[in-house]
Amino acid sequence: MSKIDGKTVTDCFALVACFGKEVDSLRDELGNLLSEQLTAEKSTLPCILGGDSYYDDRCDGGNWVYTDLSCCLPLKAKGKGRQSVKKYLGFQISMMGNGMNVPENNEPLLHVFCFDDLIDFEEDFLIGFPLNTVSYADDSYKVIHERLILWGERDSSWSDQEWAYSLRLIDINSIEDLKKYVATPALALLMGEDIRVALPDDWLNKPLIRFPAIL
Amino acid sequence: MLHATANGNSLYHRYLGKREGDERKVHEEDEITSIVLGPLDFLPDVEVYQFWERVLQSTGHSRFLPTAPIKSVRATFWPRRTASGDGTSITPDGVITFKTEDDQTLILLLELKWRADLSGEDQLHRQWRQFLTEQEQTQALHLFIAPEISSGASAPNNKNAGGDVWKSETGSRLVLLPWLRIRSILAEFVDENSAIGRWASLADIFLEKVGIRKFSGFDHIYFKISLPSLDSAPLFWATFKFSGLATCGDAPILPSFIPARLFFTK
Repeated sequence: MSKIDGKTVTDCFALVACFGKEVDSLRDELGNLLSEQLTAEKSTLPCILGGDSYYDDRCDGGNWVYTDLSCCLPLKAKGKGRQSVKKYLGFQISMMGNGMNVPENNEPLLHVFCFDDLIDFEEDFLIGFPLNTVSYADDSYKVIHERLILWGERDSSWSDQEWAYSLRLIDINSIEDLKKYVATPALALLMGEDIRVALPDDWLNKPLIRFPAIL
Repeated sequence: MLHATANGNSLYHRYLGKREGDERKVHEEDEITSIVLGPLDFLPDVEVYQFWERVLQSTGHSRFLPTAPIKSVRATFWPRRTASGDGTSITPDGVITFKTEDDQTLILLLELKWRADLSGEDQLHRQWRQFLTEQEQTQALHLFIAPEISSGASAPNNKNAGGDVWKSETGSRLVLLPWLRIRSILAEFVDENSAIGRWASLADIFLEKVGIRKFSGFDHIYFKISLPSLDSAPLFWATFKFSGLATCGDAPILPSFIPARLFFTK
């Protein structure tokens, strides 16, 4: 095996620098987009934005580069009286490590989810694969139509189910993509929309990750 | 600071977390407010109004804009008033008052955040209800400007703090403004031949430098970086070599199917 050459090292750093800048901007823009959509004046969602977003991130073992970033927005039920936070709508960006280690996948992912709890990388509470190796997961999940990981029942209330789907990060290239592939389907899923309507068949493989039954 | 930043001075690094000597506390919000919005105080009234008019049009608040020409603009930064209830002082980041020739009034109450939480969950509620009089509330919009707007967006849903105090017959008077939206408006004004155009250009550069950046996607990165070139090295071995870097973590996962062309240099 020959040694790595200097130009490749420089190119790798330039790539990480460029990529990191875009990932930072994506996180800010997507966080704001979801905040705006959750608080739209004529929203028909069953839930409302219940407080500040929570951000978290994780570096590689050598503390050189960020491997994952996340953003979680607290959701409360719409209605009169004081409500408590029922769920977190959020996203996790995973560039390397167990966050992107879906079987057959070898590229960065953008996970979109609705969970009971916040992503907390330090507590190993994240979307990581195999699913049974991270604190979050239990074995009660189902993979529906090869595209949605579901805990609970789809026909139950929005607050009684947890779900996640994943996108190939580098297929997301504009604000329009963020609206089309993240905000619109995520809000549709919260409203109880059919999975294959929210996440249509022709998105499978690009940009949507096709999941095997066991993760 | 705007000129220094545009000319490559690194003073702005303090807003990215860098500290000088034993300096600890940096009043980032106040400094950025002063740097970015302060110059508006020296610009012609008409141009100042045009800027805020475009901002409010972009957020869908055109219906709150006055219908007659602007006669005067008065901007005050960190004005202080005493709350009528508990006697504490309330200091929003700014108040801009527009008066028209037919005596209409539009008040913009400004709260700017720079990667920091609200000062108490009811900060915005107190500003709206206790800084402004009831009469002023019927003429005002409350602008929440931040890199990330969730704390402003969720404020009307916070029943502990008072709920949606911005609700009016004509819609919510709370305006959520990510800094990125301010940048997109600044870009419309850039023009070296006008005072507001020169300010817009410098303010836009400053905000870009301190991390307010539009998401441009990943496609463009391909064109900037040759990594690793199929013309110069066999990709299979180039990728495999990568695992020799101890700080890069796990060895990369090789694809289960490797196209034949990857094994050979052209």
